[in-house]
Amino acid sequence: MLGLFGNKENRVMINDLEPLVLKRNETILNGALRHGLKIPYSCKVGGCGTCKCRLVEGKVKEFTDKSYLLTKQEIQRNIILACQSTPRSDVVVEIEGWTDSIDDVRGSICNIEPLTHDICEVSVELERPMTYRAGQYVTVRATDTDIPARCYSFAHRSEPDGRRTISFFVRAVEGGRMSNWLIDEHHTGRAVTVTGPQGNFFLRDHDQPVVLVAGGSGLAPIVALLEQALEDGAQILRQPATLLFGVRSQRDIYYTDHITGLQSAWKNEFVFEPVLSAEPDGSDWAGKRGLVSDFVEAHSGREATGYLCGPPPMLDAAINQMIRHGMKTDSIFFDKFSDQSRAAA
Amino acid sequence: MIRYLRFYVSPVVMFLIAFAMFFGGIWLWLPAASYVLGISLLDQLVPLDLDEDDYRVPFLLDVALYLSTPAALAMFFALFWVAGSGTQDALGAGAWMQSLIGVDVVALRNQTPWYHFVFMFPAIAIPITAAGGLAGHELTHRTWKPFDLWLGRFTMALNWGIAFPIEHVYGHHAYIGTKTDPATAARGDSVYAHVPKAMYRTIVNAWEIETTRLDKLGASFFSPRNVLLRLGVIAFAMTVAAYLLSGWMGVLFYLTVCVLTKVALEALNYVEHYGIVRVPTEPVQPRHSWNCNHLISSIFTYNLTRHSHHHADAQVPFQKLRAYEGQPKIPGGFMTAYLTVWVPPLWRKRITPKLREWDEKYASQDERALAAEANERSRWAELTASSMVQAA
Repeated sequence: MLGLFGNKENRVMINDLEPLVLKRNETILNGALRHGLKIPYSCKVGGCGTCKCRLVEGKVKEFTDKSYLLTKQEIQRNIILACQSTPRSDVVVEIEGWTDSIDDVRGSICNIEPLTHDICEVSVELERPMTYRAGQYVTVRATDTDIPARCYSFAHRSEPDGRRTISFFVRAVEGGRMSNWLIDEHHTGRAVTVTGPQGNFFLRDHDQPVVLVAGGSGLAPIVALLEQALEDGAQILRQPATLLFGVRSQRDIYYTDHITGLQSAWKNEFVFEPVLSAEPDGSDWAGKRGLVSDFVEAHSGREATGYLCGPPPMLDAAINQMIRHGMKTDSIFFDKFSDQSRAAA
Repeated sequence: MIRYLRFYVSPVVMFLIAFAMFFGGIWLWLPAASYVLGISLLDQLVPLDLDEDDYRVPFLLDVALYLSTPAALAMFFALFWVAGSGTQDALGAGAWMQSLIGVDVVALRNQTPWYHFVFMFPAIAIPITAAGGLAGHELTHRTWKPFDLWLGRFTMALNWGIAFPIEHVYGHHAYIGTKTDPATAARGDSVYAHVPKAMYRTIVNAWEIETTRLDKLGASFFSPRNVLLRLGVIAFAMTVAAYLLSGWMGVLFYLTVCVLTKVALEALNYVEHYGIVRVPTEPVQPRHSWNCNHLISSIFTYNLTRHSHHHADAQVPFQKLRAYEGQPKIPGGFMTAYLTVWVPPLWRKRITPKLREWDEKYASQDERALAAEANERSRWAELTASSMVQAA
């Protein structure tokens, strides 16, 4: 008798957590939310991609034509949308970079260190440590203001037991209320609330050459990734690495000492190449000039893995070049700056 | 039983409106106009519909939806028929009616003064939108039921609504409340300012969404997989039918109604989402739509009025949508608000207190800041006053 009805309630296991029992025809997302798991989502119609996850095991029925949203590679990798999938058997899914520990943690600004004329490293002392993966980000809110929250990537790797002091690279932006508030030197000591960790930009340890592209304050997660690779003694340490750092002019270059330190600890060739897009002609700059995407080619072998963070146009151009030179789209990982793409990337 | 039957009222009324049009004169527009005004008026007289009980036979409600397609076709046929002149009698429908009820409807039509036709266009645009667009909308969301999805898209394509079924699901629902959404009107925009923008951006978005998808599939634009093209074929076939039945006048009548139904649909979105703001990365919540529990509007729109729940979880079929009485309310109920928007100063007067209430009562902390910016841009003094009070 049980056999007749037994498959009506399927179980779903998300990221090795305790399996959840779903109601008949309930989507993975609705089931997870009902059980109090705050997995990422936004539109619930298969239009935004925030709830992407990988189907590791089992069968699902999908409500919508995924090709509206997912790339061919994602479909081949068995990526599904949690809001559009109901289990047809017990299933196991993986949400990359997500843990059920996404949390609001209070803290205060403890240091604002200018790095260039418009970028500061802002450090926040948290009430309790936060554990995250290098490459991830948090949403930052100025607790006692009405300024809309913004997302910032961790600029350094985490510690095994998490970090009490976390930091971000924040650039002054015209009209960017949150950023401009954070880098205001008068705001040392002011209360902030951070929500995270979030995002699926993190190091995949491949035994292949690696190309890193950073634009402006997008250097933060790239530095964190490199620190993590060194800390873990990762396989990619023994692979050639290239870091292309796209900025406007010489005065926008920062963190070179730190990067040189990482470079010398690398166990294979490590090329660090700032690329200046608006350096005046005839200046003393002897390095590369132009757009980062102009220099991707030389380093984009067929087997290389790419990690990129920066403004969308720079990333789009660089990714296109990488693909044109034979890199596979599922070996290219990126984190775009714009608000919408935070959710989609 | 009445709970099921009430959703059959809409297609039945559509058939009656179509039937009446054959009699020419005031019958071209009076029934349709009465339908619009009647809904608005009755909404004020009957109690709110807070019914959330289960329906045990959802199939009966599906049939009510499916009937919308023949109802829409009947209205289009009536339109093509009245576009005829002289001895034209599309499919011999006039002769058939004369044999049936003894009234020479061809003569009645030919004697009808021109201004009745002018009244007819805006009047019938709304019921045609209801028959084609609303049931089509509900069915278009059922992406997991191939027949429903097909019928929904087919019905919307009958009036050249080929972009909507794509953009609405994969665009509007993802972007609702943000500046990227074609259908969310900015505070301060009148319906006349908003609708042309919304119509244009809906088409552009649908085009981009579909071509991106085809690109991923490795299919060319001229592929049978192109949903826009497939729907375009249906719309083109309707245009040809208009020509074959009533010549160029038929095509003119048809295309005029097509444009007006697009306007009607965007005006509907204008009402449902006016001035609401959302942080793009935050989940869509019931507060991100204007909700309505007025009974008559709900019956005639297949509960589209329960918009708060619809956007918070668009997979839910219309009969399971919950009332969400505590959510932001459309002033005066759906149909009344729908009529109000055409008089911008009146709409402004009606919606301003609702927007202020939204900012104060429903908005999250981040949304309050976005709302304050939207209020500034609206240049509506009474809204900017409210944001100053908040900041103080």
